[in-house]
Amino acid sequence: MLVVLGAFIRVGYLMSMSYPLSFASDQLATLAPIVTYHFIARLIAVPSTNVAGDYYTFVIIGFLTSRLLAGGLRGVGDELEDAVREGRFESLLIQPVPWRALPLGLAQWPVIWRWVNAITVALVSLALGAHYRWGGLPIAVVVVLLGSTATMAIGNLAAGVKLLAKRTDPILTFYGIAVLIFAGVAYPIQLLPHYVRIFSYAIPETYVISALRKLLMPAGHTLPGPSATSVIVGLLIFNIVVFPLSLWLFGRTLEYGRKTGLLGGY
Amino acid sequence: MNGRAVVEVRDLTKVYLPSPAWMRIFLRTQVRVAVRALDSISLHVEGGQICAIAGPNGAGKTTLFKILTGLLAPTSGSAAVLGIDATRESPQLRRVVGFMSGEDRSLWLRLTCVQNLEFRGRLQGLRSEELRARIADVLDAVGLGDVGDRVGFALSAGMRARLQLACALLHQPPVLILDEPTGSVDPVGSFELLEMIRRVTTERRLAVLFSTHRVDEIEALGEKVVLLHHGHVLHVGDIRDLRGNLDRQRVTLRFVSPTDAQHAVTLIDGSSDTEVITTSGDEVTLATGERIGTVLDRLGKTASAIASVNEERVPLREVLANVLADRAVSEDGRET
Repeated sequence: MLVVLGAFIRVGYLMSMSYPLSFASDQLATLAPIVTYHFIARLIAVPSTNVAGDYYTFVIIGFLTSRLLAGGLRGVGDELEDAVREGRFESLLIQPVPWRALPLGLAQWPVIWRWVNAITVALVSLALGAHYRWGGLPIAVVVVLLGSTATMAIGNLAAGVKLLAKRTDPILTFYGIAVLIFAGVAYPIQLLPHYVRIFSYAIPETYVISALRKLLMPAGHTLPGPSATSVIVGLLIFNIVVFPLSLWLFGRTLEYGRKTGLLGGY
Repeated sequence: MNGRAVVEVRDLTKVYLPSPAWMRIFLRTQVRVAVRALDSISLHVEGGQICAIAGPNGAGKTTLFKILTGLLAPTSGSAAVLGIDATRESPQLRRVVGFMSGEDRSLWLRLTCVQNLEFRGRLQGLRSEELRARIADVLDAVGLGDVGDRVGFALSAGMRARLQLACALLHQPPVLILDEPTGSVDPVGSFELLEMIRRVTTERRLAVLFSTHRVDEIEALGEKVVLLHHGHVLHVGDIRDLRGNLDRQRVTLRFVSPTDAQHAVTLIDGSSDTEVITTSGDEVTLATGERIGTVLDRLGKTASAIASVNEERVPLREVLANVLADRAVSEDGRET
């Protein structure tokens, strides 16, 4: 299995590197928001709500986390769409790899690439005035890995929809909007009306972002929300239940595609 | 492996149904009525045999291949490759089948030949050292040994087709399935590719199924021919049988006078397996499945007025076109 995953990572890397300008501009594009947030943070030097005394670090952690988790969320679907549109999907299905393992392979490079990008962004944000508590980093990495797995599970479900829908991507469009508004990326969810916060609690990103702020911000312990330990336990349970289920459903969708002849079309 | 059925298809039927209403929320489909792509077909291919699946567009060739490679589930019937049930999603099946599509889009065109093969090889579970040796072997076999580091975009259509063949051969499958392998290749390149396929399959003792709608390819490669039309099997056998079953000689009789020619037409026309195609002055052209002696017998004394006889073998292309055209008239399409 590792050989198969390695093959997907290598081909993803080679494809990215074959478009060097696109690769570089993607990197640069992610730097733009952290510069913007730097100046917004200067505007609100004394925030009105609890952001652990440092809005810039608060928002950068939210931004980085949402990007990292989006790798798992969107990776499978995007790679799948490319493979279908460029005519390679059937040649993938014809390899002796269990079909249910394909989402794992397809998501590898997007996730790795987002990690590399996140490290770059974190280093640049340091130069722009972000402050991190490095002692919390090891547990933060565990939280992000579990969070990535959780969003990958949602991504697998979305990829199943994409297999049938081909171009539209209803689950991820709505999910992306929900993360932006409800997960507390740029502001604390406490600012949201009570009746809306129910959506926040339904999204894994909310818990991961909250836990990372508690772990990585110097005054993170003052922030409301569940502890990192309870987030880890919650994500573990979510992943144990939902991840295998998502792979099973993806396999069922492929099976449906086999019966109807929908595989490979676009 | 020779003599044993490697590919066994029994009563295979595939009907594409219109999408259910809920599916149309996701995707509008062009299939508005049920389409019967394969209708209870049966065939078997033995080890070491090259079998051409021939027929016009829409005959059901690609549907058959998709079922044999596990990409499509049949509506009913069975298909097996080396005893492995192809109707189930099966990694085991895909280990014994090498598949080549006529479309070069299945390659990573921004990657080199070697990188394309490395990716396929790793998905096949091949380890580094073995993989390197296999890549060198298949690149040499398809004549791309010198361009292994060239990216797909820099290859000609013929070279891309050969790279696809190399990909199909990489895991040393006993069965090759080639879906219109010369699809985008020019005639000279096609000829070279077909020769290459013949050589490689002989050297490696492979069972090969290839689909084509080109008659020259059937004649060049096919030892056994399965002629499909609208999902039905019209013929199974070797090319000689195909000619024997379908071939009608074209015979031109030149008489000493137009009157004799006209008289001959009245004697011949309407007989069981001979028909008059044209008459022109003292010449009568017939299409017949009978021996020439039988035709002359039917002419009786008028045969003595024949000045010359010209027998012509109808090209296979024309034979198939006539058969398929007859079928098209007698059938009302593929819709169930």
